[in-house]
Parts: sequence; structure tokens; C-alpha cells
Amino acid sequence: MTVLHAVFALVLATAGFAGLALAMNKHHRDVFGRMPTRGRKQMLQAMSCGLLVLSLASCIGAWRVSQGIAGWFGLATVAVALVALGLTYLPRTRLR
Amino acid sequence: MNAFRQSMAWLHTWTGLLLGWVLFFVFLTGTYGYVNTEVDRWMRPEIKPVASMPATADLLQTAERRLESEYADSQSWFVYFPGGQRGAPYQVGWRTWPEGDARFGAFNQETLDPVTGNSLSEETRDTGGGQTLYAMHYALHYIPYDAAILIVGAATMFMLVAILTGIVVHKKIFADFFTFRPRKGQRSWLDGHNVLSVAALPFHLMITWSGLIFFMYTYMPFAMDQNYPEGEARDQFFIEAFGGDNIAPGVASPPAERAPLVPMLREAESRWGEDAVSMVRVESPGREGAEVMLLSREDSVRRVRNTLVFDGETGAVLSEGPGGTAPGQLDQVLLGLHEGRFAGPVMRGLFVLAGLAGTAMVATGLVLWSAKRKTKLAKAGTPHAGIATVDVLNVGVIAGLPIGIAAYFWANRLLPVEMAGRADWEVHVMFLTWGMTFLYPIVRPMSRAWTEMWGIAAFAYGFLPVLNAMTTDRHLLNTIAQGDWVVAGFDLTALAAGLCLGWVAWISHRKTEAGARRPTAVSPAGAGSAAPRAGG
Repeated sequence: MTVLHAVFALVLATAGFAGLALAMNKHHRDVFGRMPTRGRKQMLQAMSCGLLVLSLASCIGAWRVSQGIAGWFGLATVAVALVALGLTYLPRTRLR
Repeated sequence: MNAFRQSMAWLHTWTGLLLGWVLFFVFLTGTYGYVNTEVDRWMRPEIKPVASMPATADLLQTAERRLESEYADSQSWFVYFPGGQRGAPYQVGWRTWPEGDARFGAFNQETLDPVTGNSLSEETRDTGGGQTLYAMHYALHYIPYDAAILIVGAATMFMLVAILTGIVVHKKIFADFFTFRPRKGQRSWLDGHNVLSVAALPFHLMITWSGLIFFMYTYMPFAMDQNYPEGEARDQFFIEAFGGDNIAPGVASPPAERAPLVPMLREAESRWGEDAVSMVRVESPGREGAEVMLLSREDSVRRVRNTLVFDGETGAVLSEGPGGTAPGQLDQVLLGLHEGRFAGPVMRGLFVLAGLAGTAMVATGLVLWSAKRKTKLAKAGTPHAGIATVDVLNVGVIAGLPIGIAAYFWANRLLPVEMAGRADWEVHVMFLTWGMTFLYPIVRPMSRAWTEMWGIAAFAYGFLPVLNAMTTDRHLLNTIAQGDWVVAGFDLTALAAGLCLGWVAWISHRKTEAGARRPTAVSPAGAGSAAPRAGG
């Protein structure tokens, strides 16, 4: 596992969790200024789940199964924290 | 459901408060466990990395010579090969013969120079290193081991209760998954506590549950005591439960021929690959019935390692592991995850971050307890002795313990190298410093105590690389130039910690100022900054 692998998996996980956050009414309103439609929500959720699965797969690919799963949970923790901080502090969300 | 949730909230709040301070200590010192070898390296600046490490077979021969000439008459010998990504030292260990009814003798070890084979123990400062710091998270310090693991065990049990009740209490666990609303007093503390808890929930559950598993024979010994009493019957229990991958402790049998160790190493390497052996253990060296066990390095979450056992007289292979039963394997996965010994640098970093998240979860929970009550009391306008006590303990534990640990590192560099009982005094300095931090919020107004303590902590960590440069030659200029990233990493991490703590001090200062302007608001940085002002 190189640092590059980890960063790649982290980017995927962060994008995945960001998508899940945007599929929620509150965060969607904060970022886009309006409620998401039902179809948009479902699309975001499906895409996000795909990204999270890809992230897990890339961890397993680089770290092998046992370490990959353990490492993915660690990266997911960082990703969730990044998304939470991003939603709070990124300028776009702060405007509203 | 509401009544249930309320009763769970009560349980969460009060178990959290009662054991929070112990848990903060356990989480923070335990987090150091993920870098114990690295901390060891920094705390023993005399041991320098070798430009070109001799081959494993040469190292084994050197160690064998050393043990044969100095500690021939021992119960057991150990050889630890150096290296790996964590920069483990090259060490030999030996057990003296046990006294009385004991099955194991006292364990000793020394670090060797890989090239000359001479002991480095004489010229290396006496220090507890990262191992002593990490051992505190389950054995505490200054109190008997048996009492300590019961205290930590009770705290861990309540940690599990707090996690489970916390999930029940958290009304919007999904809706607030990513929510952090700053500058809203109590609300912000709750958001922070929630995000830290939920984001690292898999880690928190794993670490707490597996922490209990470590001591399950102590916490729930009755069935084992009844069916497998002490001694060899007890060995039988472990063999039946987990599979037999161990060799019996040495006995003082008559002297016999001793087979050389290097051919055994070659045999193991032919099966596992070059440089795959991490340790060699010999029981009853040079005596009848001697056995030798070789262990591979760890690279799987499962703590089980490859083993190869040889007859110590003839050098013939006796058995190959791992065996292991299903419950044994599950046990080893849980313990392996807890210790994270398999982790490379990236995953080790993630373990440290998760440990810090746990530490911060406990800290935010403790501050929240106080902030919540102060909001109510600020309305009523009555100061409260209980809350004031909690505040003092919060400052002393949350900001004080990091300062105490920094003092441990300072003592490592500043105490005279030839001082008697030096390793003990490093720990005394840590606890004396930590003790003094409890006095600080008593003599200073609470509003200032947080800010100033964070400032002290920031300096204590941020200055460590400079102190290191003033007292040793293992400073950043040298370590980076020589590519000694383990020691350089410690200094750089201390610097980063200093910057982060300085940032916390600055936030705390800003909130205190804001709190002074709006006397009814509860300032989160102090969580206490407003109340004393409102009250007095």
C-alpha cells in the first residue's frame, strides 16, 4: 500500500460520503438552495454507494482482504470528518 | 420508546461522566501504543540506524554468540531481528531460572550493535520509552497490575455501555451524520461529540470490545478455573481453545548438545521467504529436551503468525504452524485489530487518527456535561460546587494529561543520563507535572485556565524538536539528511501537535473574549468561561 493508493481510496470515499450528504434535504438545500427531487436523491444515493464500493474495492486491491476492510473503515472515518467540515466551512455552503 | 430513550440518556450521561476521566487517560495513552516502537526510538537517541544492516543469518550468529558467552545458563533465549518499516531494534532477551513454584523466570533484554555484537545497554540512557507509556493504558501506573486491569476493565465495560446507549440516545444519527454547527455553544459541543463518535464508530466498538477480550480470562475466569486449574491443565485449556502453537517453558534438565540456530533460520526462510523471520525463541538452551521456535513477521490482521518448531538438540523440524481453532482465530482477529501490529505506515496513521478521535469523543462528552448544566444554571443564576469541581477535573485531565505526557518526553532529554532510577523518574516527572495541572484551574479563573493550559501544551510539544536539537545529535537536520524517518517523524509530529494545540488555544482565547462580551452565552472553549463571570 503506497500513500498514493490510500489517497485514491480516500478521494473515492470522500466523494461517496459527500454524495450521500447531498442526497439529504438539509445539505442539498444548503449547497444548491433548493430541495432535491426524488429522482435526484435516488441518483445521488446510487452513485455514492457505487463510489463507496469502489473505494472499498481499491483498499482490498492494495491491502488484501483483511487489511483492506480494516483500512477502509479508517479511511471512511477520515472521509466523513472531511465531508462534515466541508459542509460547515466551504464558502459555497456558508453563503446560504 | 421515549421513556426508554430517556433512561438510556441518563445512563449515557452519568456513566460517561463517572468514567470519562479514566477513559480519556486510556484512550490517549493507548493511542501512543500505535507508535510505541517509534517513541522508543526517539527516547533512545544513542541507538542509531545502521548504514547497511548485516544479513539475517549473520545477525542470528552474532546474537547466538552473545547469548552463549554471557547468558548460557538461562531458562530461555530470545533473538529479535531488527528493521521493518517501524525501525525495530536488534535485541536479545533471556529468562533467568524461575524461583520457587513459578514456571517462568525473570525476563531481561538488551539492545545489540548489529555490526560489533556488543551490548548498547551501557551507553543507552535508562528509559521506559514508548512501552511504558503504552502499558499505562491497561496497567495504569503506581498501583498493582491486578487492581489496574480491573479498574480499566470496569471503565471499558462502561465505555461499551456508553457507546451502545449513545447510539440509542442520538435521535438523528442519520439526519445529523454530517452536521457540525459551530459557534452555537452547547449545540456545537453536541454536534462535535456526535460526529467524532459516529464517524469513528466502527473503531470505537472494535477497540472497546476487543479491549475486554484481552482480559476475558481475568474478568470471567470461573469456568476455566473450575475445569482447567493452574499449571499444565491451564496450558491444555489454551491448546484446546486456540490450537497448540506454543512451546513449553524450559526446565533445568541435564546438559546436552545444542544444535546451531542458523540452519533452522535457513529452513524457515526457504518456507516463508527471505527476511520473513521476526523472532527466534529457545527453551532450555543446551539442555535435554530443548526446543526452538521461529516466528514469522506479522502482516495479517489475524495475529496468528507462521511458526516452525525445532528439536533443540538435533535441529530436526518438530511441527509447523499456525494450527488454530475457529474461536482461536476469531480471538486473534479481534486482538490483532486492537493492537494494529500488522499495520504499515499509512494504516498506522489511520489507527492514530481513530485513537485521537476516541480521545476527543471522551473530551467533548465531558465538556458537554458541564456546558449543558451551566446553560441551565446561568438562567437560574446559581453557581454550583459540583459543576465547578467537574470543570477543574476537565481542565486537569483534558488539557493537563497532554502536558504531562510532554513532560515525560522533556524529562527523557533533560534528566542526567547517569541518574539513578532514571527511567522511574521520567514517569515521576510526568505524573508530578500532570498533578500540578489540576492546581492551575484552581488558582486561575476558569475562563483563562483553558486558554493558558492549551498554550502551555502547544509550547510543550512544539518546542520538543528544538529541545531534542539542543540535547542530542538526533535532531531534524541530521535525521532527515540520513533518512531516519522514524525519529524525524516523531519531531515533525510533535511540531504538528504543537501547532494544532496552539490553534486550539487561539480558538479558546477568541471564545473567551466573545463570552466576556455576551455574559449569558456559554463559551464552548472554556465551557466555563461564561459562568464564573455571570455568577461573579
